[in-house]
Amino acid sequence: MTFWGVRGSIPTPDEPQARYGGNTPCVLLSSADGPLISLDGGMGFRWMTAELMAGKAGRGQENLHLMLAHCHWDHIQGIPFSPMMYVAGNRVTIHGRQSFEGGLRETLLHQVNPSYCPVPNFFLLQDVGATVEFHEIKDPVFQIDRVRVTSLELPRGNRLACSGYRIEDRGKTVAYLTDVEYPQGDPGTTPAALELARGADLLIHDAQFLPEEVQERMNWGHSTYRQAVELANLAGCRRVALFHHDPGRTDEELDALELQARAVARGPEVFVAREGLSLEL
Amino acid sequence: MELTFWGVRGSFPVARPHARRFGGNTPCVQVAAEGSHLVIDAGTGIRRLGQRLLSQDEARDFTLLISHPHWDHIQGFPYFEPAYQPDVEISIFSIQRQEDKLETLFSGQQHVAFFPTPLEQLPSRIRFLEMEEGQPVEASGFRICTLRLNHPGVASGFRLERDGFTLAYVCDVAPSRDLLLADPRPGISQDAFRRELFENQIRLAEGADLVIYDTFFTPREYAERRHWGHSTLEDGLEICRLAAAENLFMFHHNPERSDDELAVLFEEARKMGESHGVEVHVACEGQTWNLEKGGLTPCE
Repeated sequence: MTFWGVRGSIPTPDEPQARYGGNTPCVLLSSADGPLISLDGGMGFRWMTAELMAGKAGRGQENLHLMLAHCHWDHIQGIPFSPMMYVAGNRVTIHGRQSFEGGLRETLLHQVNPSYCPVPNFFLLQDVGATVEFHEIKDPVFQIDRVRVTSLELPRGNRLACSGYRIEDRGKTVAYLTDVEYPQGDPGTTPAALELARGADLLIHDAQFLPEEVQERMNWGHSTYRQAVELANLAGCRRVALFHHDPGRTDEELDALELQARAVARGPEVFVAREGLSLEL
Repeated sequence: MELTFWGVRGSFPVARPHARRFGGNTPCVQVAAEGSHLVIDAGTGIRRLGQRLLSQDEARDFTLLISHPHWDHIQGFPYFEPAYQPDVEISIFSIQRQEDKLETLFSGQQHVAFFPTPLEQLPSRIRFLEMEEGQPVEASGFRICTLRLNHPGVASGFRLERDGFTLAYVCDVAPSRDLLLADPRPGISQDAFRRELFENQIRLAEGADLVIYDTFFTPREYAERRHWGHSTLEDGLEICRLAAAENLFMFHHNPERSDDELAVLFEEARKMGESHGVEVHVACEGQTWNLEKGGLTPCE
């Protein structure tokens, strides 16, 4: 598992955020003989796939599964700038749920509408480029080769729901729950969150807000480090990565937040997700 | 009058170590003069500009010029905090468009599928004003003129005049010698329109004290990507020479360009500029320049 983008909302190429990183969400899951899975296609996706170009992606032989939490800009904005999308032969399967009239494909088509983005349109397969397939998630459990994926809808206050993921491969489990806002701020109220996170070796969880900020940010669709750790406590996770950092949060503030979060953990190991950090599971 | 670069990077924001020195935010340029706040383009650089403006109590009335609606020129607007203040007024100017009006595109950017708060629910008063090509308007104490440029879709540059100082913003633009990339204009042949778009660059920069220019490519990169809609330093120097403009700012840096590479290109560019009678500068995020007739000095 490698973090390529950990920042929420908008990329922050700014000095105060340089150490933890300013790219928007992208987490790569890879193994020697398993499928390649990218959690979200934020700006980190651009740099992650640029690195893949040195291997099979550069020869048009890559097969990538991209799982979207939702289609907010920070989760999809790296896709049109990804070099592997322009190499014929590459296959990219985009998994997610409808959030725009007409479905997932139509939502992503809006991003590459020529008024906004003068790139060849790989979603319409009009120009030479990767073969893109769309998987609108209906059945919450599906298989990618030997990997079992569970995807459930998560609440976001009064906004459209987003998708959380549980990915199981050879006895190891990663749970990815970002852009989630729990009713009454209590993850215990949300069975889907508990089910996705249950016993996970690694829980990657939204921690955009501080507990003292949450009152004035109701319905923004995010969590606090306290809620992230609370879910890890309840679900018996081994580790929890605090993720989707507020664009204004400085490196020093994230250092402090990590200590505060560790203080409320009852079992799980807690750390702040940092761009470039890799973990062997 | 002061010029501040809040975002200088082209295409997409670059939060990577190779771009830290010159900056990775997408285009946003502030021109501040007594009692007025004018901003060109709303790339990600506008986020921190907004925070700065809000910390200055008197800032309540903003003029925002949008060169064109490609992502890197509008993606910061949903994070422009003054737009969330009820007593703020934002006037957004752009060239007239027949279809896909700028307001529709801004609204589309904040559709509920993509962003939590719709444009229509922002508490500030936001007005979209279309400028007629070549017809100057007055805003924030500036005389502003816009002309179309050779770039995919409908894109335009700006010429700003105030207190005898002239600044031209010529970005995003491709040279007109090879391809017509802009949406054609009815009633004019493609070749004639291509020539007109070239002339437009000169008209915008005519006698300007300062030209902010799209120097995205090296000549070799341009040869491979002529259809992308960007230029080279050499193209900018040619325009400045023909327009008798004094200073050129290299701008809209290639996202792949490292700080070290850009520093080398800038050194070469300065020497090339001397032979064209143009002083070359490089846009660096966070830098402020003092603009006065006959002078351009960096602020501390």
